[in-house]
Amino acid sequence: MRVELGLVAENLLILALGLALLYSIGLARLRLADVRLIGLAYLTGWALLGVITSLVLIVGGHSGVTTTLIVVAATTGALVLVGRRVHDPEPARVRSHRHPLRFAVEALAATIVAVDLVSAYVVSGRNQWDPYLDLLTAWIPRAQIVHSMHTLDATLWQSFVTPWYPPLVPVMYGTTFDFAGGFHPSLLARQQTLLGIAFVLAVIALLDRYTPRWLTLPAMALLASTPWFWWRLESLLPDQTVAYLIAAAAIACVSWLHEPRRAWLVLALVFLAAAALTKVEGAIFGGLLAAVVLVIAFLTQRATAGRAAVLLIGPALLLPWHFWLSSQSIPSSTPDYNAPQIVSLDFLLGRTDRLTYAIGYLLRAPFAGPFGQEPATITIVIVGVTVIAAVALRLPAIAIATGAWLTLSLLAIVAIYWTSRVDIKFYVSTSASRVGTTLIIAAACLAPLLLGLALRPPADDRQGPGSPT
Amino acid sequence: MRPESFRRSTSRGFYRLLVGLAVVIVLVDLSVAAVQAERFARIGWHVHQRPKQLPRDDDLDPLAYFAPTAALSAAQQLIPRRATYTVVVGNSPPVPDPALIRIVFEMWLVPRLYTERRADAQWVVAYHHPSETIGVPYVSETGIAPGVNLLKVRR
Repeated sequence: MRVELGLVAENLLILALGLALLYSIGLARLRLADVRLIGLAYLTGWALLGVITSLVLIVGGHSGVTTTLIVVAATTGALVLVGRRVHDPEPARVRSHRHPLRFAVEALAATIVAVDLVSAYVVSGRNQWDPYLDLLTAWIPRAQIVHSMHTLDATLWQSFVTPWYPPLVPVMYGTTFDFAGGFHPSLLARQQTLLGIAFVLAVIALLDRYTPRWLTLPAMALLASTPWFWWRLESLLPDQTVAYLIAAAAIACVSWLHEPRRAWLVLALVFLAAAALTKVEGAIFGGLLAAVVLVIAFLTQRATAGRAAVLLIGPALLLPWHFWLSSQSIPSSTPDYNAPQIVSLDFLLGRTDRLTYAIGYLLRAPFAGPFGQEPATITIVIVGVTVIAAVALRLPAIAIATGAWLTLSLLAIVAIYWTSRVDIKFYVSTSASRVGTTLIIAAACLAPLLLGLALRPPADDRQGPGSPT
Repeated sequence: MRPESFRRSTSRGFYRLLVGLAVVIVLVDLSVAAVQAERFARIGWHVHQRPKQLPRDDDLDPLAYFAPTAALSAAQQLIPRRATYTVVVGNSPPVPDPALIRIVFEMWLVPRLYTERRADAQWVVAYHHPSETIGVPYVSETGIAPGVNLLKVRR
């Protein structure tokens, strides 16, 4: 009972923090209707709490229940004050004409999403946690360090592999142990599934502004029904968490390119910061996203383009982590990369076999290999590519931004395999399906957004009541 | 046809194409999703029938594949929180992967500090290894699982 109460308390605090942030940026009004934002509030609160607590530990502070309570209370209070002073108009949702066929599609899709998410939560509560090697050697012990020592104990931290991995996930797992009153890795699967459920609901809420639900819900039904996505809802490896944060950031960024509201920038910043402090890949994908948005904004909307520079703060939050590693004489990157030789043309040209192997593997992967020719994955990829191409005439800047970011992110993954010293076949087979699926999840979420934007009449981006689609 | 009306009719045609594409995508999404959802519902129902365990058992049971959970639990209770320890894996009987044994103990015993050197350890987990030939003097020996002893090193 104590364990359950502790988890409920933690989740309520996360929710309160997220709701306060949404209130401060005009997306929530602290009324009953905000219940539709519960997923977005949880995802945002989780990300914000993770970022703040990680930074507190990096500068030498302590973690624990008391710290969490103080952080949440202080931040929530400050955000509510900001929300009261700064009255951003609430963005109107897309409203659809009532039609029995539309209602039937939405009801069927919502039912599928509900079945997928509820069954995933049930499974996470009864299945045993999977003791992957990466969890045993890195993520779980570091969470235990945060829980036991309430600091980033450098001696203990570097006694486990990959000490350069950023601390957000161990910090949040450690926070769960704090509230549960002990070291219980079996509880983490349920918390992770809750985060995944929050992500799916958050995407629906984010897309409500521009995309009718007869488009959003089937897309989310497809994603939630994709086998690897469903099974990884309870995974304790942080790759899917990175995917949630990057996909949510991408939605916020595309929304900002279409309609430069402060709310989208703030959300994107929080998600990018959390992604960077979760895994290095999060910083890479996030940095590329911020850069693409900045370039497109300067080309298409010079008046507001400069504000997009704030997005770079997200990935840049990896720097304090690197400073901490250096100060503790802990390696700040994997020795698997031939860092001094990366800029040598001879070095790069001498391993083009790795380059071509990686490209071929990643392009084939959704249609074969680790996904076993899974219909859902193939559908997501084909729909994503088709939608980007189809809306290019109607929304050229946004289509180019989305396509460019996905392509650059794919090339970034390829570059990692190209320059690494790890055996290429082993490396790609053990990591590509985890890292690459971030882009598939992002594509699944961006496709309905792009379609919704393309189907909107141009005059409908005013602040008033939503217009029918 | 006047240019403005040509643009409007082209735009309407393109809009209809987009709507048509959206409808096709929705139908495909729902068809693919519905099949999988039914499967997940059955998995969820089947798993729901399983009896619930205590969190403590849920924590340790997955590690039973690597090492006796009684040994892990006892070592956690007996070795002080900030002590240094080592794990010595022997051959009686042989262990398929000694490295995995050490990994699991290291994971479970945080914040106790693992050391490779027996001379630096305050505690030794002798795993399938005779205590007499462990190579360090000890003041106490506790059996924590079949074939696993915990030794407190004499300092």
